[in-house]
Amino acid sequence: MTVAAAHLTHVDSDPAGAVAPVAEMLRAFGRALRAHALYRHDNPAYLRSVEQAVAAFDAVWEVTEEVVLSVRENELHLGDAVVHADAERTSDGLAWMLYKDGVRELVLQAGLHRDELLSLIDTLHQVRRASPDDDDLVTMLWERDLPHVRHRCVDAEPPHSDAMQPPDAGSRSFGSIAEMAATGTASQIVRMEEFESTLYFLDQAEIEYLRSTLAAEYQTDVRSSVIDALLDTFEHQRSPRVRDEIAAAVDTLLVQALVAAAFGAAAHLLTEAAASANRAPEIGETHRDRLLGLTSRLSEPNVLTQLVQAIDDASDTFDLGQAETLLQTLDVAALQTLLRLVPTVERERVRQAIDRAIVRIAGSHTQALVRLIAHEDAAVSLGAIRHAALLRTPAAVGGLTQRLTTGDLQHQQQAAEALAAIGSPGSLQALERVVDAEDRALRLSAYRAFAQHRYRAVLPRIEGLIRGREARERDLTEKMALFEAYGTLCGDGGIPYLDGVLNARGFLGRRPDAEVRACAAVALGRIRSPAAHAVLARASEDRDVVVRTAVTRALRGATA
Amino acid sequence: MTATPLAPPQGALPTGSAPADDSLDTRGDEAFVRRAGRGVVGAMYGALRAIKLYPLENQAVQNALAELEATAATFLAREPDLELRGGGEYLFVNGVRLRLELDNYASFTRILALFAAHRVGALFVGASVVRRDWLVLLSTMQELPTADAEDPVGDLQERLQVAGVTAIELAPMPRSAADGPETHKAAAKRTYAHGVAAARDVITSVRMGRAAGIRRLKRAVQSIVDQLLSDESSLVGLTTLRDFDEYTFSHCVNVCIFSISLGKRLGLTKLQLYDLGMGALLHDIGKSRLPSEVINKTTALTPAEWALIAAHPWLGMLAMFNLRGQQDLPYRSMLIAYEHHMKRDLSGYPRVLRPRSLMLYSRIVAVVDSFDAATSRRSYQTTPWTPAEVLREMRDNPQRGLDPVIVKAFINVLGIFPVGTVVILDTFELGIVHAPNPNADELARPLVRIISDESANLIYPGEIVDLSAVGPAGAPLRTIVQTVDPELYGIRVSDYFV
Repeated sequence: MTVAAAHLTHVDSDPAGAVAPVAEMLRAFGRALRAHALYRHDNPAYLRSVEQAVAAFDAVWEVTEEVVLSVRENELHLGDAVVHADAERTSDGLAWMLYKDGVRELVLQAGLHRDELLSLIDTLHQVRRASPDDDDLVTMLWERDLPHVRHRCVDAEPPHSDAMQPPDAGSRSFGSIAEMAATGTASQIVRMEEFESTLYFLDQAEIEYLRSTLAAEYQTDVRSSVIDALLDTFEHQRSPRVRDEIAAAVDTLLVQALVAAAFGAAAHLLTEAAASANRAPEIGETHRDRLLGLTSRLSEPNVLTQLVQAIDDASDTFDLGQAETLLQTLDVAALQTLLRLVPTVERERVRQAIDRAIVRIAGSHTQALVRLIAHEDAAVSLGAIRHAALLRTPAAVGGLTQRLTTGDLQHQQQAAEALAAIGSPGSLQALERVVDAEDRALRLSAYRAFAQHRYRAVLPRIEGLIRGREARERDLTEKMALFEAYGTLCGDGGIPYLDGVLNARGFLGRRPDAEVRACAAVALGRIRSPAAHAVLARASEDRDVVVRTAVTRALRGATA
Repeated sequence: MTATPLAPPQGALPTGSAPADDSLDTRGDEAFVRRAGRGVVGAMYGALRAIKLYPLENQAVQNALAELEATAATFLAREPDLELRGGGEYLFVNGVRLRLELDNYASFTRILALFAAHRVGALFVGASVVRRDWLVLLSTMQELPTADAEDPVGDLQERLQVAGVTAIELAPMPRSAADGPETHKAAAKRTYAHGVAAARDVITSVRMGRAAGIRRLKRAVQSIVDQLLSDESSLVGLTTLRDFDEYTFSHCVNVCIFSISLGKRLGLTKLQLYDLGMGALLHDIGKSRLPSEVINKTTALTPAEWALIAAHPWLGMLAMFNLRGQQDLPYRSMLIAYEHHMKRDLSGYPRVLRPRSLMLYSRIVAVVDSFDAATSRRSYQTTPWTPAEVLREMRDNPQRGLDPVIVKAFINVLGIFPVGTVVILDTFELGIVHAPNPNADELARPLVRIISDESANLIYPGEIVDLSAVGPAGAPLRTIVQTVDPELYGIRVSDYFV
């Protein structure tokens, strides 16, 4: 908005002295409107412009209680005085902004203060940005219902009013009123007693019924009701042309529901569309495919990406449960996209919701999941591996084994964890390949899996490791995992060796280091036999505190 | 720029007229003003009713005044003074707008009507107000000024001063709000014509297969809402137009007007009234997709034709997918179009497969649509029903499947004698019901425009009389004897509302 102060004209009669303050008020208003568009609303420049506008309005209310502005194309008039002029007719000009939508008079009343002023500024800002399908200024002002702002507008075309002329004022007579009364039918005689029950307004119960009904309706998403209406009509009407139109309307509704983040309604639409596709009489293949294809469309990568981003961006503003309901309707085509998107999601609860959707889809489409383990996109393949672990999918062992041996280290580690989680003979056999892998995480996964699933076939290799020197040089965590696995698998047959490590003394009474002896104690605890218990008991008074602590714990475990 | 009409008169009470933002420190204070203000308005209404029904010395009157005195004292204990300001359809207490709701509509409507009748813009009450002051004010306000009174608010203020009331002062309405009945009528006429034009525009566009714009329709509904909130009777009166050639369009507008009027009585917010009005205006849009020869057929419909007619609800719903000028779809309007011929048990048409409950707005439009259709002359209904017959049928015949609570509310809105009903009075005068009585207890005694003298000579435009007015003996001056079919006597009711 451009204010050309030089254009302001003064009139002789301005008894209230309002022209100058109103002109200043409009200048301040214009500055605040510009600041509203330019700055964040915590910006000092914006806040200052608002405060100046508020002060300018208050100054006007000191001299008058009502300002009636006439709106011209480029100017605003107060009586005969021009109190605002735009240098040219642009969409930024205040006068044109009002004029183009038909506002011809704007009335501002005392009582218009900060909140209402901000609302008015925001309304005009919205109008500037409005698209052709948005509401115009008149509707926006009406909906904002600002108590101290009124406007008068014109419509482009004056309506016909031919039927609304006053009657012929010539004198007429109806004849005798008494005769009219006498010819009246019974239905024209209204007996008051017939209406006694309705003479008084609604009772409290009726008021409550209406109030609660209305409140419930405004809390409910009526889209679902429209969806039901459309699909009921689809099922009743067998004309292909009508069904075409309804199918198009359903498409539109789905988009509108997604745009409005009405995910519950979108889920309802997909479910009910599928129901109609499966039971509508005489439905053609085209219509069936179109209704059933809605879910597939939503599962398309570009559509689904938008959806997930929308959910992640605005998950604080809607019921995530409804979004999850929608995600649960997706089909197998969505799997790859969901796996790819999970790492990009910012909010944990959204990620969990997507994970649950993946689990549902992958649970019933394991082959699709298995294929994705080999996907070239690391996010997809890693996600597939993680979900193969969650679902403990034996069918994934082949793919995981492949990743275990040929993938990069991250894939190898996750594949090892997945194989460990699956715990089938095949997956454990695959893990044997990494018993002596270079990567510690791989080895750990394997040892723990062997222990957890009591995989005895690997015992000779484990025994070989713990008797060798290399294993003893590994860190405590790995040594512990290795000895735990050994203790779990060896049975009483391993006691003599472990007893030797824990209790025997070597040359010059020398013993293995304390960490190895503590690991032996842990392994003995895993055997859980009287013989192992006896061996542990003999070490219970060991002078080394690390060993003694391990023994104590092992004894507790052994007797548990 | 207008003068400053709402400022208290010289020497008036210390001003409490500053709006909420200035006079109130916190939201808690605003909540107090709103709550206590509603209490004062409710107590004023209770006292008005008691004064009208009973002699002043009656205990009921004294109790009502005591209640008013107490609620005002509660208010004035926390606020320096009390300002009650009428602003069109709103009441403001100390600058805080009170919302019209289901449980206070009667008190708001009555007090706003009294303010309008006396051209009172605001009422200032000081802390020294006593019971007698209220009694004088309310008794005086009950006596409505004559139509030719030049300064009703000045007259009222003078009467208060003569009676020694100093704690209550009055301010006139702003010039724009104080427009007389002729201005209201002109505005109503303009609003009605815009509504018909907008309906014609949309319906014709749909009929021609063009994408209809909805912007004009929105403005039309907004105007109807505003008009009904500020002056109901002028616009409701125009529903009597019933132009045969324009039936389709005027029916849509009539249903819109009646629905909003009913919604207003049910305490809907302005935006809810708009939602309801949009749906009501568009409820029959599906008919524009039917062959006009079926719509205009004057003889019985064949089964195939009937099937076409029964399609208009869902055709209407589909038509709304193609309206331009809307960011989101008009879901509530779609449901109104779809459901307005369904009965409460979901019989009627269209048939449904999935469980659903009829939207309240659909139930409202169903009632109003039935009423307007039955009382109109159409291609296949040359003799319309009388309003009373229709209301009786809607209320008593469960086969109609209408919501009885809505029907009851609708009868209450229209009165037993709806606006536009031609009646014979016991004075042998002929009259046209102009408006329901603003006193909710006097629904059988509406405001009536006398259109003929006792010798049956036409009078135009005729005087408006209140049938609740009583003579010196306490008996009503006029009473309705029966209704008359205006068609039979060539009376064009709408002439008296244009």
